[in-house]
Amino acid sequence: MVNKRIYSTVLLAVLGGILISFLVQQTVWVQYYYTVHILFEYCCIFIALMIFVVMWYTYEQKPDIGQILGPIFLIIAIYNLFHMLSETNFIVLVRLMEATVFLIITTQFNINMNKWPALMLSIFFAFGSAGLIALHPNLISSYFYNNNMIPAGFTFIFLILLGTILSSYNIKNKLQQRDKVTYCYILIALVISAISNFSFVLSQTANGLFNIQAHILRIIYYYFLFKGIFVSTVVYPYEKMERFNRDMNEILNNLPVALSIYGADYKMFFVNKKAQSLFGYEDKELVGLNDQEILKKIYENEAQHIIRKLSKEHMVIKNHLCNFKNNWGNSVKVSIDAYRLANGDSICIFDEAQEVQALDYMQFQTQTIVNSIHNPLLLFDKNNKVLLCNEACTDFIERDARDIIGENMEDFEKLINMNTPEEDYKCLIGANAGSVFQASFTSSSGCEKELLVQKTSITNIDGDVIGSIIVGTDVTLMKKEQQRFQQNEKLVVLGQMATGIVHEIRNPLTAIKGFSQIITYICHDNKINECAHLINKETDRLNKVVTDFLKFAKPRIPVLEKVPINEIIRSLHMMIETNSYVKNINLTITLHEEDKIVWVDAEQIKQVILNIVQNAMEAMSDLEKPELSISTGYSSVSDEVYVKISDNGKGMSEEDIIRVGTPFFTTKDNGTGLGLSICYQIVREHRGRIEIESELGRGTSFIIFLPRCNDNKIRIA
Amino acid sequence: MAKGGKVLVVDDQEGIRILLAETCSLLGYEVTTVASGLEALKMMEQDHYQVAFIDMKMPGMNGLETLEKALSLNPQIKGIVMTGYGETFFLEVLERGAYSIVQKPFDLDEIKGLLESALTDGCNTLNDKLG
Repeated sequence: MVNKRIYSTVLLAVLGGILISFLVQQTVWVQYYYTVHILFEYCCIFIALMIFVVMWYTYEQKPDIGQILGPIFLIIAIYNLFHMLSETNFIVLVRLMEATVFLIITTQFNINMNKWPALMLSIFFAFGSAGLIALHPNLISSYFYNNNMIPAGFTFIFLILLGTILSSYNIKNKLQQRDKVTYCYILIALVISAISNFSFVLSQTANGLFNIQAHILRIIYYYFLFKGIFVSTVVYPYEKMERFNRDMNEILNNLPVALSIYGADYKMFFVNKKAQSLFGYEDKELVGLNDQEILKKIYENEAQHIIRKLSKEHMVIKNHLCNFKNNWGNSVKVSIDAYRLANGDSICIFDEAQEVQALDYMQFQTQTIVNSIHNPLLLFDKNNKVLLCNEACTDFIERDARDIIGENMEDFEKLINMNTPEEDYKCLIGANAGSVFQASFTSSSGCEKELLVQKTSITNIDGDVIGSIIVGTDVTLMKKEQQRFQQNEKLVVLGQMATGIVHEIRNPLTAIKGFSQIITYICHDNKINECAHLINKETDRLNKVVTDFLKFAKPRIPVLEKVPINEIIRSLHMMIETNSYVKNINLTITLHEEDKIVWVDAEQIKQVILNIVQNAMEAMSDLEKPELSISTGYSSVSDEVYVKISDNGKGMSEEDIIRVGTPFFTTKDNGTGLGLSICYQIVREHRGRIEIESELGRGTSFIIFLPRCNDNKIRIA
Repeated sequence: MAKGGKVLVVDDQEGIRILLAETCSLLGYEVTTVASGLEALKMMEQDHYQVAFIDMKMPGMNGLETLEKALSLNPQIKGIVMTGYGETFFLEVLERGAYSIVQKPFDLDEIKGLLESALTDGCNTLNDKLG
């Protein structure tokens, strides 16, 4: 089909060419030979330059047809110019070049060279060779324009024809190829060129029909060559691009996913049909808008368009959930995957987030279930990274879930300062599945916590380990209780022992004391009496020591009741006042206006207060103006009620303050060192504490803090 | 020198026995000392005592049992319990019918006072005295 068209075109062109040649010969040729000839040559030069221009502007696109054709057509144009201007026979060179052109096209021979050097080289070559021929016209003309054709001339023409024929052979294969339209024109040009060359060979005189025919056919085949090259370098790529664009749009529009494409300038340049129907806008309403305008138009509650979040470092953002407001005012939840392309464009792919929502829902369900478990729970994936943790866990370690999720096991352990009693034992990683071990760690608020940890592997249906679950049991309180219990047990034993020992001491003490008294009754020696008296006094002292020790070692179990703190002070008022009066102490008692209730054994607390008051009075025994002040108060920060007993006595050194409360520590000459340790013990039993503020020479304040009675709290005494 | 009062001292501690025996003699009372509750009861069967000093903690029969049994033998006896345990068993001792309690180590003046009051007092127990 195509071949037929080629033949008919060639036939038509050749016949047309012959007809025109005949008409030209008959009318203007002889009379205006030079003018017409120049006109013909101008046509050729014009077309050659046109080809050069086309090739020049498509040089960078590297057309299939071979980029060096451009410079070669410039050479042809220059040769033609010389041919037109001078009588020397440049036409032979032109024809030779033309044959080369055909060879280049059909063999797709190419030289990679930048366009400017190629241009310079071709100009230099053309003018150089033309100059050479102009200076030595005999180089060529002697071969041709003797009276008859000499063999060399024939050989030259034969070479040109051979090139043409070789090209025809090459082109046969090209015709089968995809862009055969190009090669159809080339083939037509080739055939006409052969005929033209043949006519040239046959032409004997300038006025002969063959000569005119050679010129006319040359213009015709230049035209076909131009058409072929133009189609190949401009029309065909353009059509290809158009078709590709159309196909691409078609493909993107028929995709079952919604997508939009933004340029590097953040302007939307494409939105497919699916996306249009998702948002309820037509493409013309969206295309051309920049990210800000799109954000305003359809996004809900998004501060920044997702494509702005893409960068060279973050080429992809996946599963970004957000809400859209479509053209009908409905809210659509979508999941966006955004990609940055190498050319700077960005693609957004939207997925109606139903599946994501389902997954969200499932995660929500899992999280709810996990949160309802009161034990701290952690879920690790097979790479030992935290996947999930429950509220009990975050509460327990006092950290936000975001700090933990994604952490690997070792970092997690470091984060919470986890360690086990056994050395060289890697807590979580080293633990075998199913093992239970003890561990301790420090919470972010600095609390030491103890826990019992159980690690269980999670396996899939094939039995491969895909992760692990760590479940902890908070044993901090239990351990403390255990310690307390052990301490209490010790105290009970100590108490029993103390009772026994004290009893055993008191018996001989009774005898010693008694006999010393008998001695004083029956003996009249003053010296002996004095000694006996001393023995009596010392036994009293000894008895006091063992009595205090018994009190310390075996304190009475406190019987707690709700008592207003001021009432305790009021009940002691008289006793303290009398004592102060006797000792000439200036006493000030200030009671807090709000009479807070404490949950105490009033007798024991009175004992504590009296003991401290007694100490204070003793500390001021050398003073001229001793001052004692007792006040009650309430600290809202710690929710504690306090009694403050201050004196202006000798004060205590820092070392002494630290040692106060230790059994048998005393600063008094005849103290047992047990009074304050009993006080401390009683206050501890009440879950309270004693603070000391003291300055040497200025005085001391003892502050007894007791927890305020709060009926909402269950108290364990 | 006897003031007509017979005193029984019950204590497993020899020192205390001797001390009280000496004290009572000095004060002019007739005194018998025994080392256990059983011995005390035996003695009481043989003789009539107005006052008995009974130690709280003794091997075998303790002070409280001894007191109880002594009272059942002789309801008139004034039982004075001696204790080295401080105030721990006061209430119990008084409930069992003790005339008084004396804490070790005691003062001899205290003993003297107690003896005098016990022998002149119509009340048998501290409870009676308190009414």
